[in-house]
Amino acid sequence: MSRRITVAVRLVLTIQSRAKFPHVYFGMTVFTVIVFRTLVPDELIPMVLPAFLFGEPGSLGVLMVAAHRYLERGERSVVAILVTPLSSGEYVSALILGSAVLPTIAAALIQAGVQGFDGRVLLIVPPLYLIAVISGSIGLVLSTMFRDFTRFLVGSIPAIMIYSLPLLAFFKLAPWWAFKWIPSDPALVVFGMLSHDAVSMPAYAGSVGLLGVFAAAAWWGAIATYSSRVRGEVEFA
Amino acid sequence: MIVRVRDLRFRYPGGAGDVLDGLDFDISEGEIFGFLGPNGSGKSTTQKVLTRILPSYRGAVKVFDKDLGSLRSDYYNHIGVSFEFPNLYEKLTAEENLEFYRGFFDVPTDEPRELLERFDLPVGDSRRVGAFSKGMKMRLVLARSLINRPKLWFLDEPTTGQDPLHAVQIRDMIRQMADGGTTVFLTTHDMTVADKLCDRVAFINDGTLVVVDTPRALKLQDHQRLVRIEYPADGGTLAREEFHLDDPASKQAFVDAIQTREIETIHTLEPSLEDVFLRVTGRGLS
Repeated sequence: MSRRITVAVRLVLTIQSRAKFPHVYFGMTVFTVIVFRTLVPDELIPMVLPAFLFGEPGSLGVLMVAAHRYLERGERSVVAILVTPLSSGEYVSALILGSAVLPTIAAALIQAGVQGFDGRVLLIVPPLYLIAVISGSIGLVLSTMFRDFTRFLVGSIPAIMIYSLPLLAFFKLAPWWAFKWIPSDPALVVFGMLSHDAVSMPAYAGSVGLLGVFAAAAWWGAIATYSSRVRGEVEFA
Repeated sequence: MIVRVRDLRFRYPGGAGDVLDGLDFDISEGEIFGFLGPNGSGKSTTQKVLTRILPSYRGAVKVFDKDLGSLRSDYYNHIGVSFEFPNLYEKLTAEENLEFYRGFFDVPTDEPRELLERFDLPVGDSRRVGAFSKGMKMRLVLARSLINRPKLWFLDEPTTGQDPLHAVQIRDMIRQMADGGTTVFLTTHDMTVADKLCDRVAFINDGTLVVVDTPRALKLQDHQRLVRIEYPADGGTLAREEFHLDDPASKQAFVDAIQTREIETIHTLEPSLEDVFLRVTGRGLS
């Protein structure tokens, strides 16, 4: 990773920390663990937990990257970034990579809090991070399309719903093959395996590898979209 | 020549016409070049083109003897850009803003604490920038634009929001930088700043350059050599007289007035830059 991206990732994490993003994630994490510990019967946990794990980096990840973007837009600080050697691609990479850290930690803590700190917590980190990268990329692309956060919230609902469709297959409400083309599917496959403690390493590696391909494609798409649109955004600022 | 611009044209996507309509100008090394015009005349757009924020221009633009379109991210190692609005990370401290920003450059950078001192900003202050006054924020934007020791410094309304003391300090600093060899592209509609600082000024109006010259030459064009005096008159009122120095009779009357009147004020009446702008463009700067 280039030095500039490392600096930019640190910048992203610092800004999110000052904007109290960790408080939001920590609150969600504690709430989720308490709900599981008190309300969800043990036999249902392996069924329900993967959906909650997906929700942290999945749905919340989309919103948080956009929240970061709109915060920067409000400050107009992106314009200042544009006149440094930091390229649009490096900036987008840093934003996505940095924004994926918090939801990954939060979801890993949920896994540890609900099913205990065992080897599954380590195994779940790579798919969590990759799904967070995909969500961040989606959030970033959507945030370049809508002028303010309110419009973004309305406009992002269909995208988040489509992104969450594999949950229907996970809960056996749709055939397993129906949503294989959606990037969240391999993540749910892995979360399901881990929550049932039925990990097949080849299947795990295959799903994580597929998730990696989806993440790379989403990342590339986000860079391409941002690079083509952000200067236009500056033009009309 | 640090900057050479020929037939520069720019149209915003979806715009009805060119907002920059065939600009031609050159800027020499170490020069303070003022770009003057009313709001919406194309000043900031020109700066955005030269800083590559707006890449889709037409015409020939060379900076550092290279075609602007061929310059890559390394270009930003050699220029500094200060904006007319405070675009800072408001949740960070001033020092953090500078510290992160310097991390993006590949050239030697100044120490944030030194820059803060130079711009009369608090060092070691734990306050976030969001709590700063507008003047402090603008000085921090200026400080940030110097962190990479630029050869070409773009300034957009650099004294906006400053009290008179800090405005003078900023003008002095700009002059010092130019004396040290930094080329300055100064965008402003503040005639006082332009008059006191700029080696040459360009007037832009509706996207067209109307005139480029030194402030002194512009003010002396079509200049009538007039002197105005004020002195106490009968009844406690203040009398005012003007004299044409090119007219021998009027000139002699002026000499007589100096000898016989108790003069309170005496002024030469050369036009201001704003008067010149009004004359050549037919519109004011405000």
